[in-house]
Amino acid sequence: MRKIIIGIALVTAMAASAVIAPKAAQAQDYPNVANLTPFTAEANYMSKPGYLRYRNYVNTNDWISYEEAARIVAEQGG
Amino acid sequence: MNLFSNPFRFSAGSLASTLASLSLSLAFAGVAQAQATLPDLPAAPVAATAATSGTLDRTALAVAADPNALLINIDGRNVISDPPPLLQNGRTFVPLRGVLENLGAQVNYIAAERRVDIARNAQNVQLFLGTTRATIDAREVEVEKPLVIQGRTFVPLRAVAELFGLKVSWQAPMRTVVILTGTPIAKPLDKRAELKAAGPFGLTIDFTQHPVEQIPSLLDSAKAAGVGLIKFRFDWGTLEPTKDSSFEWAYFDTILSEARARNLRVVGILGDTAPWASVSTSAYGSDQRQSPPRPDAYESWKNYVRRTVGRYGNDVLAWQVWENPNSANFRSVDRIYRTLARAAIDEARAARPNIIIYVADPGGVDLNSIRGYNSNGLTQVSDGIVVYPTSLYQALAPASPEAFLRPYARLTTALKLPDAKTRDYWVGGVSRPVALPFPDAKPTDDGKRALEIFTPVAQADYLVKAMVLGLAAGSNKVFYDQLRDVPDARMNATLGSTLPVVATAPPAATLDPNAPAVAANPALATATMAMTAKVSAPREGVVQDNGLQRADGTPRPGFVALRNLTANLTDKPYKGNLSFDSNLIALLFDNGTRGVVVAWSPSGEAKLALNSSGAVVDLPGAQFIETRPDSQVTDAVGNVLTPPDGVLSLGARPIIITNIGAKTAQEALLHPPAAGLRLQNPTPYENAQTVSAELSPDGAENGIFWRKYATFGSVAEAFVAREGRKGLTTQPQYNIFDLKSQKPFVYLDVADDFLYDAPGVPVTLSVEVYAAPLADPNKALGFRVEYNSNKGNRSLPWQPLVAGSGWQTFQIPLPDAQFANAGGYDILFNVGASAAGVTFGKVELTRGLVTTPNNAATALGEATGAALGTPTIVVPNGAG
Repeated sequence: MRKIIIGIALVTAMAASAVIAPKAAQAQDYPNVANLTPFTAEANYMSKPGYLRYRNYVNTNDWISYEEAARIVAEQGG
Repeated sequence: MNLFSNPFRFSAGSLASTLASLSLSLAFAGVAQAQATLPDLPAAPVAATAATSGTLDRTALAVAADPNALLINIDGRNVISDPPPLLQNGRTFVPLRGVLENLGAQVNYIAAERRVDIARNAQNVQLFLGTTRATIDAREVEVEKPLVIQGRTFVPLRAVAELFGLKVSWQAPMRTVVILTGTPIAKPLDKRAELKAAGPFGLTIDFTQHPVEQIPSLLDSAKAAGVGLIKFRFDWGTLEPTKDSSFEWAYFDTILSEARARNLRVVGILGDTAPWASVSTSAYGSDQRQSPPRPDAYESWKNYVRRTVGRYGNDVLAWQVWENPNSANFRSVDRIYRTLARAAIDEARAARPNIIIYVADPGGVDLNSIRGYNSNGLTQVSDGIVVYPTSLYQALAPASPEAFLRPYARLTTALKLPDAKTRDYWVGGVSRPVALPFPDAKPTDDGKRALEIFTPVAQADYLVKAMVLGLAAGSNKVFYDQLRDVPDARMNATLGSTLPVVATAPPAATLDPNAPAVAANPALATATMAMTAKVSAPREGVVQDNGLQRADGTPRPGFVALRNLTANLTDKPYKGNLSFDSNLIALLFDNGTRGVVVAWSPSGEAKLALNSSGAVVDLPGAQFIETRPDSQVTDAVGNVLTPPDGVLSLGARPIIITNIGAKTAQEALLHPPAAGLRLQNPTPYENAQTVSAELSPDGAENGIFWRKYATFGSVAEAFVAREGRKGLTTQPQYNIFDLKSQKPFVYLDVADDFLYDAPGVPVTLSVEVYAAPLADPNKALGFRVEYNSNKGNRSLPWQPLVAGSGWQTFQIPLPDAQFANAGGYDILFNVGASAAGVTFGKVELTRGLVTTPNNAATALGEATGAALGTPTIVVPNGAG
């Protein structure tokens, strides 16, 4: 039951930010997380994909999937 | 290794003799249109039939790089197949799909009967594998036996083409089978001349996002906007819906035909990724398309490029690889884009050696990325780079239209390759969103801010400024992206309500009532534009899109502004400027007969003195502009603001003054176009040893700017007094359920004339930090620094702070700093993982590396994370 409640709260939190910038108008790079140490203060105690997702969300108001973030981390050489 | 890359080898001599000895007779009982005997393959070029309107494009009959390879040319177009055609016993065989569809045929393989059905123009041909039996419209005929090689079916090309009554011939010197269907052949184009004739203005249209019946409407709108060029994507997924399927050419054939009928010239975009080839496994098609293809689909990517350019190479004047490959449109890294772009260029040139093809900038004129194109050989094989000025840095943080000028100047000077090849640097996508509310919805705070910032009038003003700046900076083409809003599939299209939205814009310019001999016209002092927006089902928040038209085709002020711009400037090249600084930008466009000035004040305060009498008006603090009695002074959308006489107070909104007098034209020519046009800062830091900023309520910004990032996500905004000083206080990121509520970031922009794009220049970052005491001694405070380097964005190790240590100054060496901020900022402080927020005071950047006994200056190159940026505490502030 607790997991469901948390899941709903997460969804609600994400939905609350309803302004998503159109994609064609931005010049946006992914932050480089390759040389961060995951699960330490450097990465806000997140995994590298998780930290990349967080930073991208702050910049764009848009979430990318964990899978996509993991792929990008791999491409960055991390 | 493709077995069929060199399927059958014939020496030229043996081939010629073999073919010459063949009697190409086809006995088709009862087939009226069959030719009993075809002449030997002629040595002369194929002449156009009476039905054609031009000659074959001889350049299209390119000699293949592989001397033994065969080419198929249909109506002047090289047709590329994969696997390639093969020659057996003097007969050309082509794979089942690929070539036949270029004859306008539909091909189906009936496995149970080992039968191939080919339909074209109400005629039906059937081939039976393993036999020489064939039928045409149910009548039996005999043809060469189709071949099955390693599971791939090859059909006899000449036989099938002649069954459909098509003229077939063989160009021996070029090893090309030429087929004429009777369709008029387009004359070969001088593409460079056509591009020049198209003029400087273009418009991007995303046809694949609109219903097919809107194609004429979209093209009519582009024509009405006055542009000479349209740019659109030959979408891979639309062309090849599933792997190895027939290419669906009809849709783009229609677009090109309709564009040609309207005298609109075409630039083609190669991309996006076909969903079945995408590295993304997301359920959303947009994620799939805007991600790169999987490595195992690279051959499919190359096949798509080869076939698309091969087919449309004569209709499309120029190509570019992907549109604005930023992290939203190309969800990967530079290295992957370079790989795909290089493959695309190689395949495109193999299909059409004389094509014009560009690579695309990831956005903001990203100098590091473009430097990577140069160093990896990509720029060398292209005809130029298409750049995308940043329209907004973050979702609610618009960029100024001047923001791309400095990197653009670097691109066309320092990053220009010294190989004497002419390259274009087009401004490929000026864009600005418009935010619309949904009815019966309560926008969030962010939504309300978006509605205030992204108005239709702001879009129109930005369009004018960014496009004229692009031309003034030296680009010979500027495109707006895009023509029309994308219909939102999530909306219920059957619902609708008309929401009147009236936007009263601040006047573009106002008359000075104190100016002598000028009658103010209050009626012209206010520019008001009323428009309606038809929106669909209610939802929270707002929607934003870049279109100059709404999804239903109704124009926004931006569309009118583009039309106004093309009408005034298409035939007038940029000639010079009257002023180009942060106080006043006034640009002259002149064709020697008539001149037009476009002007605005970035600072929001400038004066223009207009006079049409022929006399020069010398008014202190005002820029004189000689007008003529028939000059018009209008805003971006053509509203007349004032008669051409008087003193105007100019704001940030652009104005257009037509029919400029000779004196002003001559003055502007004193500042002619020059490489490196860029806005001069009022306080240059070019020779400064140090730049700094005080992060306090009234703190000075001397070359480091932080206030401009107030709208960035999660940026610190509170000031707290610490030991008698106020500093900017951050918050840790502790609430994972509301990630935007905490403020752990401080963004810094370094003045663009302080070490801009100076690659790998060592500097020392000095930052004052206050660490407050904590009740729990086990919790840790700290911060981290990110900065722009010549190797891209870099992160420094976490810097722990001792709680209760008060103010301290850290000196952090940055041995490879490069402050060319395509992303909008140069340095970032991140306090997210700290147990509590920290307060920042003064920040300084000093040339060179500060060396202390405990921190030797680090060398350039691949420094380790530990050595890189290892800070030194100079002294605790106030101690000793």
